[in-house]
Amino acid sequence: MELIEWVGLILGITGFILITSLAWMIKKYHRIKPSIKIMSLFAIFIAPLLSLVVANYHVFETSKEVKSCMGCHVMLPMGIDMLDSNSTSLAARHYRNNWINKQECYSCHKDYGLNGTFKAKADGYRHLLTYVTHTYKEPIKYRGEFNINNCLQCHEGTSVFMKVEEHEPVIENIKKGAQNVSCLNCHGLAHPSSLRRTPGHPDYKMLTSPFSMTIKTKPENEIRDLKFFLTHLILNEKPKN
Amino acid sequence: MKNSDQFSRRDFVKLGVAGATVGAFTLGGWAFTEFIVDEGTTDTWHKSVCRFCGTGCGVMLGMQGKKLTRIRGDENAHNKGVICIKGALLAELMKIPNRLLIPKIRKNGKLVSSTWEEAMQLVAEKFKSSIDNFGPDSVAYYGSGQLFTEESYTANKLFKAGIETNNVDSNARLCMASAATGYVQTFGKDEPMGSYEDIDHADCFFIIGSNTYECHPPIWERIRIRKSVNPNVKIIVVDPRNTKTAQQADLHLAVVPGTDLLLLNAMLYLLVKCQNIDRKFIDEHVQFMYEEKKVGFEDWVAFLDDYKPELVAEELGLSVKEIQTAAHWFGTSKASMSLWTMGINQRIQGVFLNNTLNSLHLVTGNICRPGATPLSLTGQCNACGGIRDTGSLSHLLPGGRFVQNEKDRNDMEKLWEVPEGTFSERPGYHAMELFQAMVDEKVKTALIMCSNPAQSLPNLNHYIPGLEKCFLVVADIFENTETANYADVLLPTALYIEKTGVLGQTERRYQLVEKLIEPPGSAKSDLEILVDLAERLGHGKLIKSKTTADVWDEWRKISAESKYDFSGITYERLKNECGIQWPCPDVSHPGTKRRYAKGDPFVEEGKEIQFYGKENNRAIVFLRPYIKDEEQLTDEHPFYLTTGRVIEQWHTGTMTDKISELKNASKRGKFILNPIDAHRLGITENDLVVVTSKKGKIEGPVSISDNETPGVIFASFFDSSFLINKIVNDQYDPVSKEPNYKVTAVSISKVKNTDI
Ligand code: SF4
Repeated sequence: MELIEWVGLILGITGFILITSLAWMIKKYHRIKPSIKIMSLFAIFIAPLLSLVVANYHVFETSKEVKSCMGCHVMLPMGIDMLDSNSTSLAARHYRNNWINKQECYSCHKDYGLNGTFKAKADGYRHLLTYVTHTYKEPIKYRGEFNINNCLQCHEGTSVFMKVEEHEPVIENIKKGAQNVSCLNCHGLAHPSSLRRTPGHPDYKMLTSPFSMTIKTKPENEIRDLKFFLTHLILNEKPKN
Repeated sequence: MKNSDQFSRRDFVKLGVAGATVGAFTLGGWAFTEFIVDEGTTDTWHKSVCRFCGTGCGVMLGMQGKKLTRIRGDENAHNKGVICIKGALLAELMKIPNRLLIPKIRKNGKLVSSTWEEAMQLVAEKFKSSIDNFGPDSVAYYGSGQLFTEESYTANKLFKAGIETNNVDSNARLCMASAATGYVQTFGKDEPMGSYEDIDHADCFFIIGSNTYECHPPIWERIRIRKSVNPNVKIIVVDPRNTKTAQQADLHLAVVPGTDLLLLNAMLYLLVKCQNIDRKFIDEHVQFMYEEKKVGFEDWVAFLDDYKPELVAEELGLSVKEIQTAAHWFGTSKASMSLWTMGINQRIQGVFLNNTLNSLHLVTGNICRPGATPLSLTGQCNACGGIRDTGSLSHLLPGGRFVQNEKDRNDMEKLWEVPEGTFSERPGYHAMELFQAMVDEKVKTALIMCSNPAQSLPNLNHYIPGLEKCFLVVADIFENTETANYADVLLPTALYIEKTGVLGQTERRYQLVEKLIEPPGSAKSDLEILVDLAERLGHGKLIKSKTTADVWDEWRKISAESKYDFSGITYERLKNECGIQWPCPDVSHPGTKRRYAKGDPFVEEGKEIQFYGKENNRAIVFLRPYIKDEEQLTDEHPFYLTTGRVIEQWHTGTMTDKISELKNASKRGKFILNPIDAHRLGITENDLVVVTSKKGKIEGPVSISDNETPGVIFASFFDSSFLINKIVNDQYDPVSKEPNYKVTAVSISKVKNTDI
């Protein structure tokens, strides 16, 4: 368990003990002593509030993890492809080369700044509800436009980026405010194409099965952990095909 | 007394309210997120194709109302979502101001506004009077590998079957004729057998005369990805220049310009010597020939003796070891793939080079299986489908038929329902002859569509007077092109998604561009102009298909009578699929990824490979001797000038040079020199120099770059204020008639005082 989870657990147990003792004291003394008032303030307001903050923080943090995104099986093709050492998608290339070595989905998919984080969370919430209410259809589609500033945040200004003269028109286009050039245009698909993610396509099975993956680039335990997670997910929740 | 354990109505209401509140928050939150997560700036997305180069990338066009606002690579198309910067800026293309909106007629030396009626009446009169007074061969049509197939097909039919002249040629002659002729000579039919998908399976890439990085970027990206996933893959690049493609190669062979046939023959010599040839494949599928004569395997081996690496290395400017490495990698890889384009085609021995490249694959059995194929990369977006397949060149008829072949002529006369003997058996003027015929005043009236020969022809100064003498009808989107300067009538045309039509790219894939917006002003599609002209010339019955859909259906049905059968590729299918590769003989056929191999509908049952273009089903390995290029270095002209494209610009820049992002990035036309040469000549960056060839001289600024090899000067031809083609050699391949743009001997000197 992570530290944050321990803190949450302790707060929860403390709150529970306080409320139980409070109920017992009120029953025994039939009046509220000042010490009980303080205790009740803590038990009824402060402890839950703290728990709420901690819980929210925890949810916010864990929802940045790949595992969290891949908790919904519609995301499996993206995750499995990313982990596949033979895949040529941009996500897989970033993963393979360790360009982003944690929170791989979130790092590219949240816009920068506070607003970005808020939007990412809001979108995550939308995804969750769409998923649990089954109001989606495979292959799922990216809503709106991928913000290329998310790419530029890491790449712009690096020597590798600046060395490529062909980036000049892209920068000019961005400065012009037209923003109609996407990094993906030249650098390829971020994830498997929608056609391959369509149930019934010959690649669909492979893209939804963690057994099809060849992962060479991550520490053994991390790979085992992810494969185990995905296998478990699939066995419990069979995707449609 | 009220039982406290009972669940009262009040409790129920409370619980209901609480539940409803939670539900309202949840749904409200959902609605809120639906509201704040924006949908992007487009209302609708449409599947289409990029209109620039022969890569033929599938694109998705995002429209906001009637405006094109977003371009994305089509993830489901062959290019897997990858496009280049030109394609990415297609939305900017549609916004270029100052389009030609109304027809114009030259009066007293000036182009003045006119009406369609007046302009077309004048065009028809001029055509009629030329035909009446000087015969049908006094008129001509010069088209483009950028017109839709329906347009080129109609023009070809109107001129060859209606006007009865074979004076039909196009700018595709300047870029693809050698590849087309090479395929026809070797396999009996034009167009490649392989696909882009072969890149994903190849273990050795032999890239010769192609700066794939700049000219076909998505293909380069695919090669690069193949290499990154499988580092054992080898990339050999043969190019006199140290291009960005060459810089990323495992082996760069910087050959002396004009000598690479020596390299190909030397590689063949080594393949035989090291027993890296496939005798079984040769015995089953190959025939050796020297010119028109059949010869044996031993004759071929003996012929190659003249190309021992030790004998040719010096002239090539390579070491023996380099030639050995190239031959070894090519011959021992599991699947070798050759890719080439203008560096091979625009050459005096362009056809021989194409033949010999095909031979490398035939003798090693590197053909007709995944990753093993020769694949000539196409320059323009519809040179294959529109020009080569429809036979819109002066020596061709549709579906791989030849003007000089009586049976082919009779076939087409029947299919087009014209009397026997309609077609002249004499090929018309090919591009270079056509512009010479204008100089000689043999061609009096010509229609030029979607092309800019006044900038793209080699040895321009020689041909410009012809453009002045001829009554020139130019159909274009702008008024300020070099060719429009010589137009007697200028007709405004629709651009890209302002009309509907099919484009056919490198790998025999036909794809549909659908009309999404109206053309500006009174501009019309080139097809509408051709249909109107046909009516006015009295050929309205012949040109019976008047809409793109009807023309497509007519051509589709005619194709069924040839090995180019694409009768299964209907508009309906093209609207839904990301292009289909022919042959495709019926609507349920998925298309043919690998031609001449099992799965091709023309390969007989039970056969794995069948080169059915040849009567005995054998492809031909020609013995092709190297002939020294006439453009040799001399004391007077001690440098080679070679021309080409740059990544940001498309051909003569009439479109791309008006898009600020592309214009600013490519900067202006210039000569690019190696630092060693520059130092020796005392030339520094941005100096003005004069470059002189046998054809003339031009002045321009210099840029110094390691990308050039010593002794070679590079210049691109997109800039109309820097007409490099004025000094480029206009000799052409004797068979394909494609000019030798790539090799011109020149001198260079710093401008002291302007003496031009
Ligand atoms: S110009 Fe060529 S490579 Fe670039 S997007 Fe268009 S078709 Fe593709």
